[in-house]
Amino acid sequence: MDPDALAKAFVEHYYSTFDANRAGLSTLYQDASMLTFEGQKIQGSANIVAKLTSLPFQQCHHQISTVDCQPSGPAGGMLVFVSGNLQLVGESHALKFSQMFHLMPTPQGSFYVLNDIFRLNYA
Amino acid sequence: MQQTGRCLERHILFNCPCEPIKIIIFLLWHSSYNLHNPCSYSSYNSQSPEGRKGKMEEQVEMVGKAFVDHYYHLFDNDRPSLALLYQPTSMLTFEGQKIQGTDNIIAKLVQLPFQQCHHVISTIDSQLSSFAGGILVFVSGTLQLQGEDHPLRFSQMFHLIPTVEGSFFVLNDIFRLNYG
Repeated sequence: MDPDALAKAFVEHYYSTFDANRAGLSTLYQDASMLTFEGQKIQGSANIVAKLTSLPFQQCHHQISTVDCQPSGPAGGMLVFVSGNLQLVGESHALKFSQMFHLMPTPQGSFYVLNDIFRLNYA
Repeated sequence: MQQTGRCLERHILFNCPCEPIKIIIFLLWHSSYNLHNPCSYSSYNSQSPEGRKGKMEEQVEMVGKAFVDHYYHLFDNDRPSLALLYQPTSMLTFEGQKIQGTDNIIAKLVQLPFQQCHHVISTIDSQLSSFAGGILVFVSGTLQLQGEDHPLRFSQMFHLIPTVEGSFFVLNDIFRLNYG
């Protein structure tokens, strides 16, 4: 599959899962996965999903502005760099964010998130 | 060894009339040396797995910060010398435009439509990218162009790969402006 198409497909899947059913993100992480969320470091699928499901809002909607991707090396990994808006239910203004994912191939022919770094972009 | 290394760092930082670049390069070398050779710490092997992991995270953060300082200092003062940080396999995506290889990347960066600029860094996040010692660095900040009233906000990510000489080069580089 074309890398750009793959990156876009991943981004759509990730954020639609995030917005509809955050717990479902656990299939995208493994024990080695690392998330840095607004500077807080979290490791492993269980801890990462615990963090994401405990974020202080019930509902949110991610709207993606840009998706850039590059292959990360001989292991077949892919780097995906995203920017967009995050609308929280009840808030009048959307938050801006940037996020990067490092996707690694699985033996089953899919990808998992090895590295994940999220930052809000404050004005 | 750890003790000597730290004393040397402090001596250089506070006593030597070194240019900031030399200090940063030293710290970068020092960090990368210790990252590639964890056993160089005399106390390393006596620590718990949690302690070692904490130490590794510290090292990764240190390399990330040292690299960011070095990179933007060069960018703001001597853009052509960024060539030292890229290799033929390096990839840059600059505002969606894909460029490969040192020559093409430097050509792009030196012909950006401004003479002088100043990067102010707000956040630096670093993580180990794989088992081969690669480091991912995620940066956000502002970019002040000379003559412009308002600074631009940007995000950038780097994927640093260790070189045989014990330093790092930029394999992946993605830059985006963050519009308000």
